[in-house]
Amino acid sequence: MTDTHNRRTFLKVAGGTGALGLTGLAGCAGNSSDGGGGGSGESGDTITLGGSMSLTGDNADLGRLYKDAYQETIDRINESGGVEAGDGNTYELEMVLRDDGTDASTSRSIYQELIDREGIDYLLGPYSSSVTLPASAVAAENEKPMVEGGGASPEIFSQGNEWIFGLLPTANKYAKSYIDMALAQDPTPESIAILAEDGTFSQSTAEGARNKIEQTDLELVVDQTFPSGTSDLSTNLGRVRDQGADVLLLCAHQKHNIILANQMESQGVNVDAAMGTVGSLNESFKGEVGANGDYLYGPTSWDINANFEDPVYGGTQDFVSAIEDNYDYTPDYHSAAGEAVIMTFVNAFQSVDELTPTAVRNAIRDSDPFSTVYGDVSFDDSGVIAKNMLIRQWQPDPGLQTVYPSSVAQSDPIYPMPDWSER
Amino acid sequence: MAIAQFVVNGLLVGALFAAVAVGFALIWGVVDIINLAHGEMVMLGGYTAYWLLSIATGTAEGSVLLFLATIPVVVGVLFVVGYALQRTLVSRVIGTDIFLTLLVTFGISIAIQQLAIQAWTANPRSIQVAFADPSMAVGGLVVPKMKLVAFAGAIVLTAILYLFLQRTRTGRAIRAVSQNPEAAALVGIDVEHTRAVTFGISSAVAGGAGAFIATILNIQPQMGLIYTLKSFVIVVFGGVGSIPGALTGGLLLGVVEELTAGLVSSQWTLAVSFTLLIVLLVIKPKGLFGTGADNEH
Repeated sequence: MTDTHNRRTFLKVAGGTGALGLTGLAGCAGNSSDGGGGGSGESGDTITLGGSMSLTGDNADLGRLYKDAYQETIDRINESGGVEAGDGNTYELEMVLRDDGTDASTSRSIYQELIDREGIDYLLGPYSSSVTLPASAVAAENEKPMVEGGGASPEIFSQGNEWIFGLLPTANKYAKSYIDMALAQDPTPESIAILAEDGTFSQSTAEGARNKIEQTDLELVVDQTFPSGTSDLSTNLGRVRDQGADVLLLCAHQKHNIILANQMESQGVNVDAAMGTVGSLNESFKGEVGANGDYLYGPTSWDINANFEDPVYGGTQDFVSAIEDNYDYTPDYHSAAGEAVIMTFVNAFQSVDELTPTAVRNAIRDSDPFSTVYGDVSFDDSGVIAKNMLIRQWQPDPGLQTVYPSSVAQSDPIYPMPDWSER
Repeated sequence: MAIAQFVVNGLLVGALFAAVAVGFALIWGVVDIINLAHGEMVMLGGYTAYWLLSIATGTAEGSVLLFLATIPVVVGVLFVVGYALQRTLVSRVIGTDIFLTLLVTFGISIAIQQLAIQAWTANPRSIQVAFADPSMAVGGLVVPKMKLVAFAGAIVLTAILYLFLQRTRTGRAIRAVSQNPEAAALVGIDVEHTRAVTFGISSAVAGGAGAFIATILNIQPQMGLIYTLKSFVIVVFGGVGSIPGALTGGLLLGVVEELTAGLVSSQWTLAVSFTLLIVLLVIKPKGLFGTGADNEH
């Protein structure tokens, strides 16, 4: 009886633990892959593009934008007959995109596995600078070209790595246009506050802002770094309020932009302008913060109202419609950069005589500017696209507007922002 | 004046830490388990309030009264979740090796996180509570009204738990099981049921605190770990099984973190908190109020 009881107990415990394990595995499996099963990087008449992406974790909302843009573009290319490569063959494209959970070491392992076990020669970059930097080292060690639209830290491109190409202006330029815009307003701001997350990208953004501020008459009255894991900025915002900063710059991702918008209201922080560097222009950000997000600024490397020619979609507006129709949201610059990642490879495949990683890398590096929904694409010697950021602002009516530079502005910035008591 | 502001900020947020930690202390004291999934109860409480308000208003925005009306539901839902977890999984490892209990509760926390990501995405969310004027000035100090409401809510939750344990028959049964489960069983107390009720009550209080956290900070599926860690520090500050100790520890941790963030940098808050923990373990290993884990039974 005791034996039976113990055995039964054991089976129950094992079953329960197994069920728990399977639940966890199911969760992991759901996050772990997309685009099916691998195969070699270039087998038969298929070229496989592979990479890792933030499909879970803090940046999952942004990771999805890349994934959807990659998939939509690849599907359209295949539907129209594939890529006519310079070697005389026509290839279909395939994508293997695995979830790195926004974790750099996981991402590194995924890239090594894609190269070693799946035989993939052409790499799609991950999201965020902290993840892209180590991933780009894997590309260099294995001599595989990586094109990325999600890493903008200058550190990625200052390693002498000839295998990495980035479609975002580097992070040290992110705040430049915002400061220029603020200085062009009346009354001219006299002081600025910087709150920066302690990640690679945000620190590079803050460093670029400090360098820019040194060239102006602005006084840097608050310069604080906070840990990425924090969900409370109230003490730092109290500093901004107490120091009477005219302009506020938050160098951080979407999570902290949500906290910023809500806690500026609850803490009564009134500044003339406030900008979050990443994730402050997403619909999901505005959906979470509601009216608290009004008047906030954000940088973008792409204007959704532009209409650049594109060989796959026709033009930018066709791309916007395709994403809105098929994925039920409005794309932002992450999406457009994702499309340009695929088009960079396609352009290179079309111009090489033989399909090898080195030939494709050289073709990307030496390419003349070519048009995509993201705008003209070409790379400098360090592998960075040459592009300046535009500034957009959430306005109560009519909504998100490009406000700087004036050559592409849809409307003037609402400056200064109204105090919270006047809203 | 700046220091006074930091202390006020610390007390306001520290009460929430305390409300989370009392449940952690209770489970540790009564069930003899270090519940690594306790932070997930905070997260589930936050999401329950968020979705209740979303269903009611369509936007997760509402008046303070409407938000407060969600708290009893959150507490009820999380009680059921905690009770069920204890009955179905945790009860099977009570009395076994401590590593097995840690592993099971850690596994539960990972499973809940993953399911939450699948169900609700990793996108951070927050509850918007509308006030005509969101903050008020008291003697030159800025006090956000919602933080004050959350502070009061956390104190009320903690006080209700304390009175429940002191004044009710079930509360006395919980304390009896905490002191000596064998003797409690001999006098007719259903030890397993009492432990499950303890787990349920602890989860309910943590869930209630999570709802308030959703209004002043934000919630996301992977937020639980930091609250479990803070609870651990607070319980060591205050002593295992001591509710006044956990309350004092929570307020103390909140003030220490805010003073560190304000006077040094918010990058140093965790380092200072855990250094203080180590110092306290050396000079007063049983905590400020508790009798220490070894003597609890």
